[in-house]
Amino acid sequence: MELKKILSNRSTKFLTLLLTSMLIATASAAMYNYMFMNGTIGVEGMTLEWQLGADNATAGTQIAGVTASLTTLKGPPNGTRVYTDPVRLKNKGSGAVIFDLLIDTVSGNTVNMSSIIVRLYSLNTTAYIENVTVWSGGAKGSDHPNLNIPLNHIWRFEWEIKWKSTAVISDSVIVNLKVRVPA
Amino acid sequence: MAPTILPEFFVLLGTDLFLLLSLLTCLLEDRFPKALPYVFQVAAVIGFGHLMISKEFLAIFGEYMRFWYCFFYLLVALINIVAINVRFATSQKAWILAKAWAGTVTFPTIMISVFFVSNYGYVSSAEFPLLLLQVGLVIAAVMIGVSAAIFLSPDILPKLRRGKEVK
Repeated sequence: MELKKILSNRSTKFLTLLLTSMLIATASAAMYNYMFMNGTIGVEGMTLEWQLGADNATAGTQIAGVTASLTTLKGPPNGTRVYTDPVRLKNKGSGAVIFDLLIDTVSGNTVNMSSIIVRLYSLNTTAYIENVTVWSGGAKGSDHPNLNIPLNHIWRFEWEIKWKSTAVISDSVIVNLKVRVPA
Repeated sequence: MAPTILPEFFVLLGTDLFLLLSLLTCLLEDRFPKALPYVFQVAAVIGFGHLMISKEFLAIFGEYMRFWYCFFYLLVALINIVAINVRFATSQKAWILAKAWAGTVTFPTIMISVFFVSNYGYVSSAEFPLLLLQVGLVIAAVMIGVSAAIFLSPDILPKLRRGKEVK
């Protein structure tokens, strides 16, 4: 009965509601702030998105997060095979992104592999961007840091594969490329 | 890179709107059921729970899904504000209060919500900003038109109502 009387008092009721409101608002804002910090890290990592190109089926392109794997890069012995558009990279962030292109792994019949060159072209402007040596002289090429992709631009990765004369028709290599956005 | 707002911002906004409603309905308690301020407080707590669930499943839920369920919560809060406005105007016939509520609560909250949602759509390069902008502009235009009409001739609504009764 006493409690009912207290609660029915308008000013007491308002004060109680004001205090609980402040508590809920503060807790919600703190939670959002916590999520914003976590979310920003996650979002920044995914501002660049690998996409399947027109030749994805023949190159066996597989995309898993920040890694794009080309699993069936085949070619004729002592010849060159060009995959014009097996994989693409899109900047779907909120501004231009500077990123590192990492040659993660090159595996398979690399003994018979002469070279793998990747040429980057912009699909928006058709301009040539960069030449990336993935494999040459029996060794993996070096990573390419600080590539700058403008907002909403898509880059096409053209692959040129040269096989040695010792290669056989069943030879193939698997290449993993990774993108890394520096903090 | 400019920081973008997360979809959960709309839940935060909705929670604050429910808290605002709770305090305002407490101040105007003689016009509402006694339990209503507490109902709005519970709705705000649900918003907090919403944020907690979003935080736990941040990596699993896609941004598209997160946007829509957060936007839905904000929409529920806005519908409550408009519903109270309509209640003042129709069932209680408190025209001055209805106009004051429209000018100080309904209109600003809707405009703030439209601003943040369109800003989110623009920054996130979402596919809905054009449609949303058009819908927002139509709502704003209708509200301004109706408000201006009522402001310039306050007896327009009673006249319309009397006209219906005659028919």
